[in-house]
Amino acid sequence: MAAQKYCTFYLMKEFFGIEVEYVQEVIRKQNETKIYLAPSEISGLINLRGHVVPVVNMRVRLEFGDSDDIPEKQMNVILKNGNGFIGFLVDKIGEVILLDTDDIKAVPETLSGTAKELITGTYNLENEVLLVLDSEKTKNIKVVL
Amino acid sequence: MSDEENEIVREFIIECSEQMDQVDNHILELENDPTNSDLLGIIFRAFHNMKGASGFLGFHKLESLTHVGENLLSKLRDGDIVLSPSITSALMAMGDAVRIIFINIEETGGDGEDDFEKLKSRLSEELKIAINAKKSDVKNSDSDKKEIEKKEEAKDPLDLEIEEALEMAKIRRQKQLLEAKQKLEKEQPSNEEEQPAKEKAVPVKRKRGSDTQTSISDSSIRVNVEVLDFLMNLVGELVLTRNQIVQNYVPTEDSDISKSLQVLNRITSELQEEVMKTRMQPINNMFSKFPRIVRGLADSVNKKIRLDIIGKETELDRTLIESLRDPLTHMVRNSVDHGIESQEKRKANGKDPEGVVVLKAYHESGYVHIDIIDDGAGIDPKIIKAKAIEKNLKTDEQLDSMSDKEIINMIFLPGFSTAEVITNISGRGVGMDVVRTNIEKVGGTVEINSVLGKGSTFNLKVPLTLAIMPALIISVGKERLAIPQVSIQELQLIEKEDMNKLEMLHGTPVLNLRDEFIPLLYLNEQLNIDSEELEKNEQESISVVVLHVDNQMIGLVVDEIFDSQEIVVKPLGPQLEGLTVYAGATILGDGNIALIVDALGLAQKANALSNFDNKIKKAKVDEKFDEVNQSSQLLICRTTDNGRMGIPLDKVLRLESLEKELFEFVGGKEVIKYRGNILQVHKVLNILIDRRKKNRDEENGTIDEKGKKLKIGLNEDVIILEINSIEVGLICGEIMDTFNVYLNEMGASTRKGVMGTLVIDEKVIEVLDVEDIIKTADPHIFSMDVG
Repeated sequence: MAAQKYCTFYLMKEFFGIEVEYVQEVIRKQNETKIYLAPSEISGLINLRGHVVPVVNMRVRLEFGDSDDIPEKQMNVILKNGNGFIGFLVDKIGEVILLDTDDIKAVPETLSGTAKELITGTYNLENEVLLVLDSEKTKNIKVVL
Repeated sequence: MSDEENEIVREFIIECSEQMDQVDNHILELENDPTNSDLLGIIFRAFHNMKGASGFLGFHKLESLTHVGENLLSKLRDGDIVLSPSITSALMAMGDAVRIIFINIEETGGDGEDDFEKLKSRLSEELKIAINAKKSDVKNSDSDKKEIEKKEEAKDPLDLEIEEALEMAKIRRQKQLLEAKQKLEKEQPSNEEEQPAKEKAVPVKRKRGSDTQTSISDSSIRVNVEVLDFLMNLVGELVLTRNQIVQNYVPTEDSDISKSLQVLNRITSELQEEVMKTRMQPINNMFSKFPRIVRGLADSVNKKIRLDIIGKETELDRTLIESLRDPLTHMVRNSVDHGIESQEKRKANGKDPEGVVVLKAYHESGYVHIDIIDDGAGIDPKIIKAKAIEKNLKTDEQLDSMSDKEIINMIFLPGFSTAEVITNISGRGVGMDVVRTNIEKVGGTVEINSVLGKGSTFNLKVPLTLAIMPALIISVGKERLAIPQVSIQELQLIEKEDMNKLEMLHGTPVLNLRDEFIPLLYLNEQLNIDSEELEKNEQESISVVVLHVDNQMIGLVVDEIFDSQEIVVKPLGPQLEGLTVYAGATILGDGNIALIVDALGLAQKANALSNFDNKIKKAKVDEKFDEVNQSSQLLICRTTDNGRMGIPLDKVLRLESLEKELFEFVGGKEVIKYRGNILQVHKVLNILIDRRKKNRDEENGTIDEKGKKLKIGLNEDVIILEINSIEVGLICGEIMDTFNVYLNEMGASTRKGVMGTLVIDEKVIEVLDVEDIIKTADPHIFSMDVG
């Protein structure tokens, strides 16, 4: 059995996980400085103890579409990013869970859009399904001018 | 290969590469001083160490190559053979080969396929030739030649160190005889009695040499640059935290906290300074490779060129050194290749056949300057002009309105850098646009000064460090942004009554800045920032930051201009790298983030560069200002308050010195009888909106800055001008001199009646707009009907 810890979080009602070793820390949503002309997925910059950290709005990144039900207390999952860091803005943080990677199942072929690119597998939990994200691909956002 | 082994190989390469750089220079030095045994010793040791280490690490090709080189060098060091130009070249070639092997090792982990047989046999050949040459010398000197020969054959360089000590005396004695035949250095003892002293002296000297080496290596250590960068970041954070504490501190009774704060303040500043220093490196790390490049290049084009290096200890940020390497190499190559003329041509022009290229680095006003000076042919504006027309870069009319300096600067235009240009132009032109782009990328500028027949000077100006830079904080809407000071030319506040300076040309908003149209960009539009503020303000006044980008000026309209600050530049991360309108971000004193505007990126995004230049830049409002672009003579006066003012000489009719007593007041105007007419005389200082008001009242006997009483003469210098066919006199103080100046290089105007400012001999000169002054003094003069 190959065990792997996942840092989990929610977006709308969906449950996601990223491998915990890429995660630096989890912090509350911060005041963001908007970056004009930046790709829409990047909602702004935050000051993380002197580091300038871009924040990816995960709702936009995973194409959830407009919605009014954005929770007040969103959270930032901070990941390492090159020599610096990057934040994933999510609705709610879940537990860190230990899974057997052998049990991870393939993504249904019918999945479409960005989600299909970024989700590497699914895992059936008791009450819900965990969608495992490829953090490298999720970070891979390019400026199109 | 294990990580540990990799690490060892990496260090080996780093160390050897550094040594190779030194070795190259030492070999060049040897050319002038072929018997310098200290230098030969250093070179020998470098190859010897390299051979040992490469054998140990299993790079046998490198080992065998350095082995051959070492053989040659050991003979050189011991004076058995004498350095010849062909040996120098062979040694250089070996240096190149060693570098190729280094690259192979770095890329593949092995020392490559090529075992440099040819080079090795060349080196051995050189050795044989040199020994034979020596032998014939030795024969004449009647010394024991056979003994030398035996030694030469028997000596294995591996055993050399052991043998060395034992055979020193014998070799020395032989050497003594040989050297006696050559012209010896004066201090070299030439008779047998002094021999023992000499023998003692040499080993002692060597030993001392190795002592210094250990002490240097003991006092410095290698630190990974990443560690330094991390340290730098931490210090940046500390500075910000300190700023926050100091800002939030409310003075109370408790003076202990206040004291601690002061100490914290001081320590933080010192720490910041010291950490900055660790990133600084002497520019010599880059300069040291140029003697070699210049020598090689000069050889290949058959020129004689001397390279002088000044200020090699000048320090700058190591990342900057890296980014300057290519542009500088390019420019030095250009100087050698195109700048310096052929030996024949130089002789024909009465110049020293040996050309000189000077590399000069120095600090000035917070920037590092690097000058590349050559005493070559200079750049001929005529040829550049012809080329510009041929390439359709400029029209005849545009060129006519340009100064020589502007024309020469056209070699930086992108279209200029084609291979075709080099062959047609005796000057330069290869990829100079790339050079400038690279320099500007690191926040620097490059300028040319060229005198035809005398040579050219390229001046590079770069910031000391990339990590911290002075920047102007501005706002648009609710956003605060930073603009690097280096790209800012000036700030303009356009008041309501001056709104006519904003015009539309070809549907493009432009600003009329001293009668030149510069493109105007609204920062809110460029960045899609909502800014209602701006529209309201447009009625009152608008703030324009005039940027200097790519040798052009661009006006950037912002909402508000705050102060200038030293900012720490932080990268935006790989996701936003493509966003060229920003150069990064910084954290302001209050902890908020401000994006840093990249002037070049912004101008490119807005298409405000060359495109605009071709269309409109040179369009003039008024014909009378066409002359602004050409060199003109300026009459310089010293005003009674010790200021300097300049009047374009072409406006001046005559200069007169008139007796003060003859001045009269008629109808509130000062007049004087002059050549049978009545001449109205205006005192400039009375007319200008004066920031030096207090001086005006004491005009006839003020005290200058040094407190020295200015001489009050009986006469007044009067400048006679002709305005609207009427002669008018202007009193502007003591007339001093005339200067040739380019009025288009003027800085901002200081007050009404002044066209702009220039700096001549370190004095600021206000260039007067005489028409405007006279108009102010006598509004009717222009409407007067002169029958």
